[in-house]
Amino acid sequence: MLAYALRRLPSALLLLMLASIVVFGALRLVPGDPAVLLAGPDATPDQMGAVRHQLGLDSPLPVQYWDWLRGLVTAQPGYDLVRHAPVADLIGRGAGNTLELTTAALLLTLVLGLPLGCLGAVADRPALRWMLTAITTVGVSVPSYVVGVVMVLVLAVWLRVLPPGGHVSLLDDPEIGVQYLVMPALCLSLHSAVVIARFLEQSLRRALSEDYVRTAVAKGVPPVRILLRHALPNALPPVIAIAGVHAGHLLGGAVVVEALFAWPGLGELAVHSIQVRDYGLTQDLVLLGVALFTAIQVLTDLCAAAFDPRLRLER
Amino acid sequence: MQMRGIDPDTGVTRRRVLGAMAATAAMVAGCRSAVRGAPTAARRGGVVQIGQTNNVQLVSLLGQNAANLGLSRLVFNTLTQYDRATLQPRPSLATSWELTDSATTVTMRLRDDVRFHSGRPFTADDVIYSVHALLDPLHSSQLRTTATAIADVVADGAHQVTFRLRHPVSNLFDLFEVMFIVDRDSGEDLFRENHVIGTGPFVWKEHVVDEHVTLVRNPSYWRPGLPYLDGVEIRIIPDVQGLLASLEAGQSHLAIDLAPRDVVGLARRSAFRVTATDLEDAGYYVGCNVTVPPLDNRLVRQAIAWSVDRDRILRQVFDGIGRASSIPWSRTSPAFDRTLAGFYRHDPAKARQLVQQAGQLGAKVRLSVNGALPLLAEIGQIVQFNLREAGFAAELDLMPGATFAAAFAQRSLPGLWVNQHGFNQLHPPTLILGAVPFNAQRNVSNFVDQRYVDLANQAWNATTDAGARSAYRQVTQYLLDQSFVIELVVSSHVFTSSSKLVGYGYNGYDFLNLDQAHLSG
Repeated sequence: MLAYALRRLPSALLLLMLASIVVFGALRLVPGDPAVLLAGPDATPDQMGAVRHQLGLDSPLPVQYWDWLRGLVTAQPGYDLVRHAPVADLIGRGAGNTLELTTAALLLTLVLGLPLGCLGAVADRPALRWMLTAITTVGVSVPSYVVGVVMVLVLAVWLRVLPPGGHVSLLDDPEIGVQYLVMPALCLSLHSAVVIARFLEQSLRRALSEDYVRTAVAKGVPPVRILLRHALPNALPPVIAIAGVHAGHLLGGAVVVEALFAWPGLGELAVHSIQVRDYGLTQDLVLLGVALFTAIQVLTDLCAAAFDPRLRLER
Repeated sequence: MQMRGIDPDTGVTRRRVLGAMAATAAMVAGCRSAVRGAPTAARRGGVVQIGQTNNVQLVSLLGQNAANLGLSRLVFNTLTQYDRATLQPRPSLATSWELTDSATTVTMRLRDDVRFHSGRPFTADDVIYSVHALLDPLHSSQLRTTATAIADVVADGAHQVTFRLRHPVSNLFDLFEVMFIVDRDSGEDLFRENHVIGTGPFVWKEHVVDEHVTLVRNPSYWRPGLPYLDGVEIRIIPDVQGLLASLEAGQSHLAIDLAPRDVVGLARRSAFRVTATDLEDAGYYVGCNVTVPPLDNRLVRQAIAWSVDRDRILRQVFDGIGRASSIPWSRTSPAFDRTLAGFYRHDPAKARQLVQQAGQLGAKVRLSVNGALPLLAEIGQIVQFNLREAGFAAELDLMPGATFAAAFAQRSLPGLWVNQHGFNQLHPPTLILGAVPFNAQRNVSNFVDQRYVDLANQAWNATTDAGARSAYRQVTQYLLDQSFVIELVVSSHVFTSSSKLVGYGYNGYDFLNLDQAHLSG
């Protein structure tokens, strides 16, 4: 397993290096200037030049790239002049909040998706099947933005049982923090949960039609035991692969959900840093996103390999 | 394969499931609520929750930035404070003042009972430090030009300060209205975390970037018995709908600077109060880059001024909050003139005739819109329609906020643009020397004319009321004639609050004042 993991490492590093060059270059091509925000629109060219020097924007591009990379490798990403805060603090806090949200969303995805998929595979009553189909269709087709707005309207404005937005850390105050977490996590997870449910349903249907299931039924094994102990483990590997992909999608989807629920995570940080052309912070965030996505893919492959030994032998 | 109930083999029974659900419900019922947490009954005490879409910007705390409207005046004080109706300065940190040497020397006596939040007494040296901080380009302030008229500022003892001016300045008290007095001990750390130290009613306690700012009551505030509130929390809620929901759900007591159209629904409900400030300090305009044909032709610019349907913009975009106006001045400004305010009106035939006279029928004009404010796009669409009526081939270009800001700062917008300006509520020199669209020395339109500079200086240096009024009228007529900035609507910043929040106010720049605010019921 370790050898399998090590084989994946060089391609992951190469991907990160390429991504760093692309994000650095792309940002410089986008019109806009971070010095404008600091110096103000009425600044004279000399004043603007002084601010550009302070930001390091007057150095040649290769020097700027090298300085940025060196800061990352030495874990000293510097101080953000736009927000008046250390970059490491900004990213650390944003990453913690996003991790809190996406972890909760991933858990909800599994908690909702797996039972829904099992139920879909075994349901035989027309009303139940109709209801499951309606849930999955709505879940797949309605964008998270709309789901979020409806949730806020019903749960926060009409019923007033949950706060409409904001964030309190689970570590600081779990009782209040969880109330802030419920709606964004549910909103973020709904689409992925439904996709997982559909995949699991199909995968389970195939597994339940296998000979070993018929044998178990003939031997009188209870249906729930057949489902959970025999069919489910065989139906899970493709679902795990999809869950891995969706874990990455949850990170992407967090941008919208964080804005909607005023959740101060990496998505919000990235959107604002792009708006003000905060080059350093935007570069760090995009590269972090690529690194996270790559790590999730590697982890997913490792999980799949753990379930299916044949994958570990592939070159 | 069938599943007709809960399998006894797994030990999961219907009774157990119902029991678990009941236990969960009981647990949830026993929890504190994030919605109903804050007690709000007492007149004295309570924490006001403020919501705003923009991040607080420490870098521009000395500037006039909409992002800090809800913060600056809560932590800091100014030397004087205007009576907004008369524009007469009233004491604040300065108790009295006198102008001598033909109004080129201003001597101010300062309060001797004021302490900074750090506990150190406020002295004249803090005023000197604040003037220098305002002049530092790193602390972007539009009043910097006015401040450059100060040749020297010296302390005469601990509680008296003298400003020596290069020439008489008619808008000096505009500067004192907005210049926040900061702690000189902050040094180079000014406005970094834990160095936001003022003399105001609330003390900076915590700032979580992109999340919230927490302020607590200043127990040693120099206004006896004030403030009534125990604290203020400013939450950043980037999405407008999220901010509205926060108000409706009772999570926020006050929302800063929502667009008039966004609050129409709340304005009709008794549980909410929508306050459009009387300053009318949000001017919306079409700017012209006069180096780009056909906008280098004055007739063309006047044609555009005649073509625009200001009443429609006011009705459709601002829901009637504000006034259609051809001049930038609000009603509080000494330059306001009702007749000149109605000088240009929607007259497509006259506009077309002027375009024809200039030989520019069918000329292409590009209309850039600052995408940072959604209502500017709506104005842009109406202006584009009007321009086509007048005979121009107008193209609309919705630019991302940062792209627009960069082109704006570099004076390189490629034709017309729609944007917002401030500074129209006070003395005219503050606008024509401080606001970038109008700046007589260097404006975004690249409009250069010595006569305009002379008129601006004449207005700036006026020493008598009569002389100032005459100069203001000449400047206004000049702006109407040259039309490199075409005013559309003069509107207001809007505070939207729960009716529980009582007694809040604002200063001459719309900075929120909670000195006497309290929570009722």
